[in-house]
Amino acid sequence: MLLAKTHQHQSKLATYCRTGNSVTIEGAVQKNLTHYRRLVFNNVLDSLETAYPLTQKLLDPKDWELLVHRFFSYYNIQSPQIWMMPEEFKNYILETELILTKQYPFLENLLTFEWLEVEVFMMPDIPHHKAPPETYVLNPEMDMMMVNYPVHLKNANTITKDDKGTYFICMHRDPDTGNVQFTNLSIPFVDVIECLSKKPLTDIQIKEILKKYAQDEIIETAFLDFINKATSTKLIFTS
Amino acid sequence: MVGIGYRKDFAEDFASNNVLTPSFIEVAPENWMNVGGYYKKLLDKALEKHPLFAHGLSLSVGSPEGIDVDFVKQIKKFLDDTNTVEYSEHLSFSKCDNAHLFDLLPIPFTADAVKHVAKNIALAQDILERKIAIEIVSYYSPIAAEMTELEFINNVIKEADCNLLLDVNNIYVNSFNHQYNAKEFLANLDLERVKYIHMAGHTQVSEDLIIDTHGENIIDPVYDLFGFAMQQLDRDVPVLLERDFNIPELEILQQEMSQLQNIKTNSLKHTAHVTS
Repeated sequence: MLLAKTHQHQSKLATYCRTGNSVTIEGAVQKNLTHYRRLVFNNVLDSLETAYPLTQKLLDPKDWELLVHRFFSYYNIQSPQIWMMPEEFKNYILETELILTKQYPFLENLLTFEWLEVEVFMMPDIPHHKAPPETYVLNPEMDMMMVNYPVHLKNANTITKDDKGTYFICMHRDPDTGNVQFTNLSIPFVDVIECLSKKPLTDIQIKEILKKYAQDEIIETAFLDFINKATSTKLIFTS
Repeated sequence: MVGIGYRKDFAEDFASNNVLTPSFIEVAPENWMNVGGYYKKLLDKALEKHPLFAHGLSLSVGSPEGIDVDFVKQIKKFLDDTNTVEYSEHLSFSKCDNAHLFDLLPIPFTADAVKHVAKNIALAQDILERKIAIEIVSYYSPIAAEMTELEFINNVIKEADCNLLLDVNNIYVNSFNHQYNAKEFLANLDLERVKYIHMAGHTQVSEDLIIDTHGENIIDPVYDLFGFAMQQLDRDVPVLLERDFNIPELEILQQEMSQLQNIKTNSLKHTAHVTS
């Protein structure tokens, strides 16, 4: 059984790595312990900067580093996979950093948008089904989210309360390049995507869905715009 | 056999040309479990031609709270799904007080830690239904040591009945940082248990400290120590070239791999154990 004093020595080192607060550990070479703090913290910082480049850019560099420092100091990271750690960072901010989320009302949307990109990039492969003749099928490697601020359309620094509304984002993974692309969707096309996620649809069936929202002359143009963009980005496929 | 640590940085080039010709590739399961996408496809393609060695990062056999059984089961699935040849991990802790730190921290060299770590390794081996090759890690400070590093390592691997991953660069780094004779240290390890060797470069950050960065070419004294290790082993053991940062042209990596193979061949030329 591990003795309490051995556990305590390990805890001291781990806590020092997390907080950077100086510590005295029996038998340790004090000046070399600083390298552990540097290596450990930079590893976490790099991973978060890779996952959240827009959030990092939004904040003053010192505030960003202090935010990461608080997260790493006070939050117990649960995932053994470092690429999943940024999701815990997002949840930590939303649950704990109330001053920050009040200062930036769109921060929840921004963090969720950035994390969704990571998730779609990393998601396990899903088999793609070939479209039956004269139909469209949805790329199964996708996800959708609703946001209240246009974090996908505007530089975060320029978003104001006036931008508040309802926005829909569809994020999908290009099956050939693996790149993640997002599409800003209006409500009628959210409906189309949701229907496509259940089964392949023909031109006529898609236009029938759109008829619930607009007049015929608008539908034709909107339909063509959507189909052209969605097929070129490989959000949907046709036979 | 000389292998290469498979990295996304060169995954595309590796798939599209034949500059690198490793006998096997190595990945960290944590970076590839339950994921898909472009790089996973490239890895799957690489695995069609190359056997896989898996080198874990987060098992944390030195954690005071023990190992995460659910995580070990996920590792097992990955090893089974990929037909992994050898699974290795570090003699260190990366989780403490219920928080992951994602780095390899030194375990106190104490008798109680030997028992505790050995128990953790044995439990992981039971779940995995295979032996783990445990790597001697580089460290920059001892923590409350009550025995030598050598005693600690030999006691743990004997008590856990596990294999040993001989990271020759780490032994060089530790011998420099803690001022002991690397060859003497190496010769006194339980070499019968060595199933795998790692080779890498490092960075000297001050006149009395080297950091194990995997970001530089292997230096001659480490090649020399590798030749000594092969003579001591007197049998063929798979060797891996690790390069995680500052990755050079693939031709340079291939030259390093060829040099490792040559040293191995020359060191063992009086035996009939060498395979390429």
